Amino acid sequence: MTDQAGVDLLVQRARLADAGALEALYARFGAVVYRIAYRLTQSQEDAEDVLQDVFAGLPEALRTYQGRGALEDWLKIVATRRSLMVLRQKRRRREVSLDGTTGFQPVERAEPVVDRVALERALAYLPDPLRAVFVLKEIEGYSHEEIGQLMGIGKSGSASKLHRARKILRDRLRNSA
Amino acid sequence: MIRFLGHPRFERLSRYADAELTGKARDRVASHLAGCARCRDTVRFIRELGEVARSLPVPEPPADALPRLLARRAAGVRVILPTSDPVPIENESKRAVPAIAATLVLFMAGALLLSVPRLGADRSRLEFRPLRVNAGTTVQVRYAPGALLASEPTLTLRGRLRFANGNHEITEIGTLTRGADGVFRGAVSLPDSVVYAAFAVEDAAASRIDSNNRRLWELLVHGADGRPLSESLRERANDLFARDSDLAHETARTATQMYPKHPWGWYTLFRFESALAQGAQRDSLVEYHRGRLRELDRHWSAGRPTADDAAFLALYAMVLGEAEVHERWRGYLLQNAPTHKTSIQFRLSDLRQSAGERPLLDDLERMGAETGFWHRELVIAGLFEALRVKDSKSAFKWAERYLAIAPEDLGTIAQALAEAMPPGEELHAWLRGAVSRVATGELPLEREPFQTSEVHRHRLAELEASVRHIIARSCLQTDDIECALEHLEAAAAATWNPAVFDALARVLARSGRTTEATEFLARVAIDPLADSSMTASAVALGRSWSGDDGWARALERAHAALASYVAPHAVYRRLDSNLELLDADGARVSAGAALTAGITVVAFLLPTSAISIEALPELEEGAHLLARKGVRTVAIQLGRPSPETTGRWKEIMPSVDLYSDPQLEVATAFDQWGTPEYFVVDREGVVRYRHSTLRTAIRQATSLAVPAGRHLTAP
Repeated sequence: MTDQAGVDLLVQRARLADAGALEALYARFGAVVYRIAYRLTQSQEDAEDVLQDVFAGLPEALRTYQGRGALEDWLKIVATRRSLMVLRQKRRRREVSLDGTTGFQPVERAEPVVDRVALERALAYLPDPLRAVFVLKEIEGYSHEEIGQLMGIGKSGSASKLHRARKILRDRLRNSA
Repeated sequence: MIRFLGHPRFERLSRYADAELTGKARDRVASHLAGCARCRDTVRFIRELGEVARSLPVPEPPADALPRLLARRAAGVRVILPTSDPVPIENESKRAVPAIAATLVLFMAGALLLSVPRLGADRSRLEFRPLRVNAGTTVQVRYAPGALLASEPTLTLRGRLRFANGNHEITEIGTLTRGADGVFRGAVSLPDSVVYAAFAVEDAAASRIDSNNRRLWELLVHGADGRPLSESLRERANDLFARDSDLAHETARTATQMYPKHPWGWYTLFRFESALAQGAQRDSLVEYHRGRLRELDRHWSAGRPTADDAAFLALYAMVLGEAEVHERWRGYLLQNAPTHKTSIQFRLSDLRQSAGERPLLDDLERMGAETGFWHRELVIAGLFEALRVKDSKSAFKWAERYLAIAPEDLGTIAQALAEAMPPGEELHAWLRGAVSRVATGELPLEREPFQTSEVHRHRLAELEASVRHIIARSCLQTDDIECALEHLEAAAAATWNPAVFDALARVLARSGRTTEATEFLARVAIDPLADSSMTASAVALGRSWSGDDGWARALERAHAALASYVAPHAVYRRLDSNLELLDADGARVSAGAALTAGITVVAFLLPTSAISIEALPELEEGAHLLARKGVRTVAIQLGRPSPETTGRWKEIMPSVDLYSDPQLEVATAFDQWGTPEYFVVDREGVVRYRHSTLRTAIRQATSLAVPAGRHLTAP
């Protein structure tokens, strides 16, 4: 049986709530779902909630999956939507202003070198919608059109949020440099 | 060349880094960069940002995530996920109920429970005497009809009977005869083992049904102490899950007060309450229920629990993460009631642990021989194990067992067989035979008490169409065009499924029948839920085969076909446009102004219900699809939501017009009761359709959005 045929059979079995199939799908795709959820929520607790929810709802949700694209891509979209829902529900308050003004004067300073640890901290500091766009575009490789559809903000809304996210990250990284 | 007076703004550099700028804008930035080290540094920084972000480490999922996930599933936890792929229509009508039922666990702690009132005018009444029925009592029934059934000489009382052991059946209970005063009367005698029943009244042909607006009329069997039996409350909660989850929740709460020593009530209540509780609220909820579990554990450890009590104790402990208590009651149940349905679940779970190490078919056969082949999970496990080990003879045997207990799952069984087995006459013969047995009633597919015979026939036709579609796909694998054509034509005649239409059009085209193929391509083209690439291909091919005028006529015929397809779910209810709603800013608006600006899909949503909250993203997606057809989408919040809730919903659904119905007057006018539904309102303010799924409502609305120059008449 080919790998694709194996996945198709797993999908069929999981649709019927076969626990073994669900376990096998988790083994294949659990890390992918967790990764995207973690990157979007920046929280291990929230990422696990998303992971649990996605797989707890998978047998029923798979009835809407028609197998036109790769299952992994479909799961990533579902995980993204679920993560965005979690973020909306939590409505975290961030101290940062949305226009990225943080009191620093970027024109007077050289651009920082991007440090991984500092970037990780800065990403957690980003407002949720901006971080979501940044993660989806820069890390997951979605187009602005796709992100616009996923988040209901349109293509231009996605592009605009990406630029604002970068500006805030730049200012934060300067602050931490 | 125009140059920047200062530096380009950060956003412009960011867009340059993404190659979003074109023409002169791009040239101006490039020119500036050539002479500005600082801006070059900014562009370098922007590009590096993405590269470093992609290299950031991500922690692994916790090692215990999988066991907890499987335990949640085993405990019945389900989550409705925001998916986006089109759903095959063949399973649509039957999916709604399990999807909603599965989400019964999604309730809120301390939620405001709204009971939407029913229409006062022309409301029928069904009454029972005595009011408190004991097991085996003969019940006198009195039915005062509304206009719907008043002219009939006799009526049938039909309903779902639920038994103490958790089984249920739908059956005709008795006949009601009209008296000189226009009131119908009869007497029914329920079997001793019935603990709960829910009735509807229908005419002889089941073409008109008074289902008390799907609420049905209920009868709870009471004990000698005058209280409803614990089993009656449990079965009431089960019966209400799909119809009114809030009432089901309330029933579980009542059970914990009335029967505090019965674990099922606490277990069910926890499942309701826990789904929406988060963070500290969830922690305190779990702590509270652990206290209840400890009390129940102490109580039953000193007594002799029934198998049901032991099963719910084991399940309650499992969802609360109390492993020791769970194992103890699990062991007790397996030892004392090895054929109990929860025991079978536990035994299957144990078997799955060894899945892959050795064939399980013999074990499953032995278990079935001991318990009977009535447990859904057992027959599913048998079917898929047979398919896994490629034992086709056993696969057909287990498929038969599965079909015997759940004929409504035929589509799923057929798909599993077709995907795992080689195409050929043996498979096709089995599938054709199964379809025939369901269609002729040899394998009875139950008609719900609130379903008319027409809706039921529609459901049967959908099921048959879904299996024929599967057979056709299998025929195409062996290039048997004649076989594929036969089954696709039959499927297309019975269902509305763009995938069927697309496949049929392609098969017809291969036979040179492009004129007929165009008809089906047009159906794909008008379906708002069809895959966009399929639609684009349909439009291109249809136009090329029939020309612009021919294509326009084909589209009109496709609209007529869609209108015919959705007709069984039509209603006709004129709204009072003077009723008032509140808009998102709290201002009063007339329902006429809010709902009749064009064809409108109206969704009633309960702010405190997880089912409603989970539906919001799907509604936003639906609003986009509907807007392309010129159809508005309106969401009406039941009750008085807080400004924060309204703000959050607006954020999630920017494309949906949001109102609230504080006094539930508009909901009453729609006859909205229980689990929120979707309605389609036409330009004249008439409710034309209602359905429990948004996808069907989208197609219903599309059927009204007829091409220019065409008008559909009201039924």
